[in-house]
Amino acid sequence: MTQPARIACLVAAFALPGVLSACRAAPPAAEIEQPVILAVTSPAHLQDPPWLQQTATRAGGRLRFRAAISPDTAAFVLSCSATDTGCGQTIARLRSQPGVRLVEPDQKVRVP
Amino acid sequence: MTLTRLPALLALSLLGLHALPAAAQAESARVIVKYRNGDAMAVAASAQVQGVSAAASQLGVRAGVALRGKRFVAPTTQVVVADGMSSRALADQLMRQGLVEYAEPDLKAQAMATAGDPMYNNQWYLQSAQFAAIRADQAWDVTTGSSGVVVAVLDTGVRPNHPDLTGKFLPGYDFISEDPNGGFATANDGDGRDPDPADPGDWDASVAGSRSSWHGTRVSGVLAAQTNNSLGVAGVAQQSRILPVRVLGVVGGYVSDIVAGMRWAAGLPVPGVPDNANPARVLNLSFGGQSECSQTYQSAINDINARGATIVAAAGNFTGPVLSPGNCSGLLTVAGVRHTGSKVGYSSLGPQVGISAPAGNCVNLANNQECIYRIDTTTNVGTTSPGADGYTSSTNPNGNVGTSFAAPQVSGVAALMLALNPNLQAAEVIARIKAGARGFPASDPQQPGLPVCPTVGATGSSTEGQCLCTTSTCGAGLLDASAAVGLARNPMARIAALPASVTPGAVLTLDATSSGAMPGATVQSYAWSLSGTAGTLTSPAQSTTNLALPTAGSYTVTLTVTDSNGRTDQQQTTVQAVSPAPPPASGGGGGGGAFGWVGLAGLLGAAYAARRSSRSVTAQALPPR
Repeated sequence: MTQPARIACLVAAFALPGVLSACRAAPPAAEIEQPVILAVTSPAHLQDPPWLQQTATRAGGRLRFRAAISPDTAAFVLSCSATDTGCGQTIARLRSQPGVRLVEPDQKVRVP
Repeated sequence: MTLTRLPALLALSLLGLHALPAAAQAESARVIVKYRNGDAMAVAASAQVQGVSAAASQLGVRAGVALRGKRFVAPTTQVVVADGMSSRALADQLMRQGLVEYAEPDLKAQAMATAGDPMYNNQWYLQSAQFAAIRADQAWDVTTGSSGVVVAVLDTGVRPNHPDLTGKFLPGYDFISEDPNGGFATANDGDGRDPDPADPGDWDASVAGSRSSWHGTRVSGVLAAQTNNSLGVAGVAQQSRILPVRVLGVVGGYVSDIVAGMRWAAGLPVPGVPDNANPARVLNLSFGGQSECSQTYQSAINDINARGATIVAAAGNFTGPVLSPGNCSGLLTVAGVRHTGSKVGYSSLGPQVGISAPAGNCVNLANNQECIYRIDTTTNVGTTSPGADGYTSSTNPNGNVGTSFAAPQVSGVAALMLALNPNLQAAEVIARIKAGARGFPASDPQQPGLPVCPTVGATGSSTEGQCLCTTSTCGAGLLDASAAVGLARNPMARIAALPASVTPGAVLTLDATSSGAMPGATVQSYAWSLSGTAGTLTSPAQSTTNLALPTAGSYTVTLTVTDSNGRTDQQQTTVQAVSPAPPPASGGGGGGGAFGWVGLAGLLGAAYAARRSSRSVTAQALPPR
């Protein structure tokens, strides 16, 4: 997916969650995906897809919106290099970006 | 209680009678004790030497209570009496001291209006006969709850038309969003978030023989099943309504969806989801994962507490450290005990546990035998998709047990307390539940030689199976609904936040104007007192006063408020007066002064936060067992 297309999808995802499925594209073979929870210092950042994408790019990854948690926190799917196990290094870099308050892996609590 | 005597109690119940402690009728304690085989007291009892007094007298000396022996009900089993205490208090004391094989109040059968549900007789954990039972029957004499107190069940959703939950459910929400890799395998209902919290089943189609758990329906029944409706089971919070919040689907649920559901349940906004018109005062979390408390969980818990909602979480069924979010702060975490009060083998444990409650223990282990001390509740009988609504099984291996079902007992008690006193804040609900807890037994009559529960290390171990609870492993004690409801009526002493430290010579204003009382009562008086370093209180009988801290030291302030019913409550806080640190010995590097300890603490905090956040974790299953 091209960068403009990604941004367009991110914008659309906030405006109309139903289009998310149309935006989905399998990550390139050299990438993996990690569900994450991202909190920002200002709720406005979550309403600013270009800011989100630029922030992710600076960290070496890409973000795809999944679900809202609160006005300043949301769930995303983070794409990163396949050599970055669990996107650990990308998450660390993402944490250090201005405007980012928190990044955590989004765990699945399992029920037998 | 020995199993052989259980039928007698059941027979009483079947006759429509309910057993009340004799203490409710008289001031003197009257308790049945069984002396240990081989013990000198048992020898004396067997011989029944010197009439009926010898064994009882020996027991009294050891217990430090003036006991008088009464009739023997078996060769080594005797009724003993004492003045000045209740039967329950005496029985609990003897059990805690481990002086006898068992001690129980000598019950007097009395007709009483109680839960008329046909399965109530099996709901031993709600009643008062078993050592670990929560005594909800006694609490119901004070309150059966209020429909105005909403309890959120964050779980797999519910079967909305279960006849024993009719009229209980408020409009809830399904928070399970699309899976990270696309599709709705977790949601199992063909879509993402929506206003329908119905449980479509959580069986895993990729695993042969996988069955749906109907976990949310089971938790709901324990919490607040319709009671006295001549149907099924009784719930702890009989009048409360349930806010079903679906956050767990096939093979569990994501923390992101769980936290969004928690926030919404308490009335906090979640973008894209309509506001919750019925915010919950209590949130029940009967799930967990094997990880440290995440910042996402902790932040949500802090925000929810600030909204006045109490959060109750199950400790987990993994025999080791408490699961997350039960290991977070600001909530009440529940471990599981057997009917005798010892920790049930599967329950997780550790310092984060705040209280223990019955979680179910079968005693019989073979298939198709009765699971004796199970937690009966509502469920659905469909193996995968929903089938008929029904009740949990009475036999192994499907008898209903797990800390998942201890937690809603605590949530139900919290709801009863809030029905009586809706002015309680979350921390006050938790403090009163803990304060009302009964002590753990010093021994388990069914398991002589049972070890004391070990300290659970940060990394945990797998050696903490069935064991004798301590306050550092199983919380403050055994849940006591009756005591907690009684404490809910007390006023609330509240001291406005103070700085943790000041410099000597400072004068602080102490403010208790936010103190309160239950509806219908008012705060009548304030009393401030000071201990520790000598200081000065200017107006120790006013709602606000000044505290002078003339010298360096630790100043402990106690506030006692008394309400118009004559009930009291206390709060205590400590302030440190610390002399400024001398300037550092300069060795160059000037210009860094602004950094100082604050900056270093910030760096350390950031490092700690980073460590917490980056720790690799593995999500694990919790309930149901």
